[in-house]
Amino acid sequence: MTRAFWLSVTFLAVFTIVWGLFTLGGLDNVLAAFAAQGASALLSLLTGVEIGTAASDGALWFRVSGIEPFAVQAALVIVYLPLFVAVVSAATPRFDRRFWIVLGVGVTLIFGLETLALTARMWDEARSTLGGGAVFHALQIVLKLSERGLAAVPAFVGALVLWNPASRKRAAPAAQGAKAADEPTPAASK
Amino acid sequence: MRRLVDARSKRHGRARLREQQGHAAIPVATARPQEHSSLSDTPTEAEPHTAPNDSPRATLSFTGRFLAILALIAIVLYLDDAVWNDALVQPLTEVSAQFVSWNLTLFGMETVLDGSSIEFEGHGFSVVADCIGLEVLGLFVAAVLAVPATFAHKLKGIGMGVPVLIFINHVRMMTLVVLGGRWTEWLDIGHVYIWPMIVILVAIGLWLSWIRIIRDDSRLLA
Repeated sequence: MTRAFWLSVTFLAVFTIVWGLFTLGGLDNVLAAFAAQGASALLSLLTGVEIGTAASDGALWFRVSGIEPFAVQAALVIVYLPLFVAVVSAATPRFDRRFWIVLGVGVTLIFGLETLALTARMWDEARSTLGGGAVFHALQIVLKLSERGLAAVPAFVGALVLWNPASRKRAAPAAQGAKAADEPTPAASK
Repeated sequence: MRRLVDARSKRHGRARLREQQGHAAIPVATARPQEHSSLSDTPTEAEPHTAPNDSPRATLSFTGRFLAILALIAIVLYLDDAVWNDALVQPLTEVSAQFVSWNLTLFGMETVLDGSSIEFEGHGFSVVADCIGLEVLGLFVAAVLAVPATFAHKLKGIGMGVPVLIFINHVRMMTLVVLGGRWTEWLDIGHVYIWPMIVILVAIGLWLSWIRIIRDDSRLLA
């Protein structure tokens, strides 16, 4: 009960801080604009057409020659990133190297998925100009999977890596056994 | 100290044997063996000994299974959408809309139901495939199936978690209809930000609780 209480408190505290940084601090717009830059660069690389980007009133606008500028919504970074950070912060027993590795890998994966999802949305919007192809369809599948929960996978795996009840069950008796065995006994000291 | 070393090698041996017999344990460790050598060869209570099956390979193996099952579920949903003309999802959306409408009526709120559409306080809401929580159910089921556990345990996990997630999603739909009807400006925040986080968090909590419940079974764990 106590552990569940502290898990909830940690989760809520971290979530509130990250959520505050995102909404009040404007970090969501910064990250979304950063992902949009990556997405436009990727789409330019894939199609050979120059893509212009601009952020206005929290929306991401893209310019492709031949069609009207259009806005695309970033969602994964805004929804799944605070969730991931709060889940792994609550799940970790201590903020050690393992935690920072999990955090770094998870944030990178979510950010990468957001970049791919934005690329897919942009390409879908400008398909009349940019055309289609196998890569287009592959990106649309990635987009669908991301929207259908793929972006939540780092939170599941991160929670398991940092807070694995099964490992804890094994680790506790092992540690007790190690402690007991390490104490000098008459038989061992001889 | 010799007794400790012997005890540790026995544990390693047992775990290896179990893996060979097909009873692989749940992956991932809570300790860092490389740090033991810098401080002491003896694992302490703060840094318990790492079992051999708690390896990055086991974590990757779990993640691979998780993603593969998730992809299978996504393919079925895609086929239903693109090929089967919503034959699987359409009945579910209609039943969900009926339940939402019926429960809102129980709370004294008048609604008009038309197939999978609900009208409340002059606002229309269409219950579509994304509304009925299939993605979070898919995530939970994939996560349960990806854990190396017995079939009975997996069945227990799915039987325990799926009804809870369906209930949570039902509450989500009810609150969104009420928000959309009475406090429209809050609908987007609730729909896009708040509820997705709550349902995924509940799914992760249920899944970790299930792992805790099954951990005492000697058929599964070391």
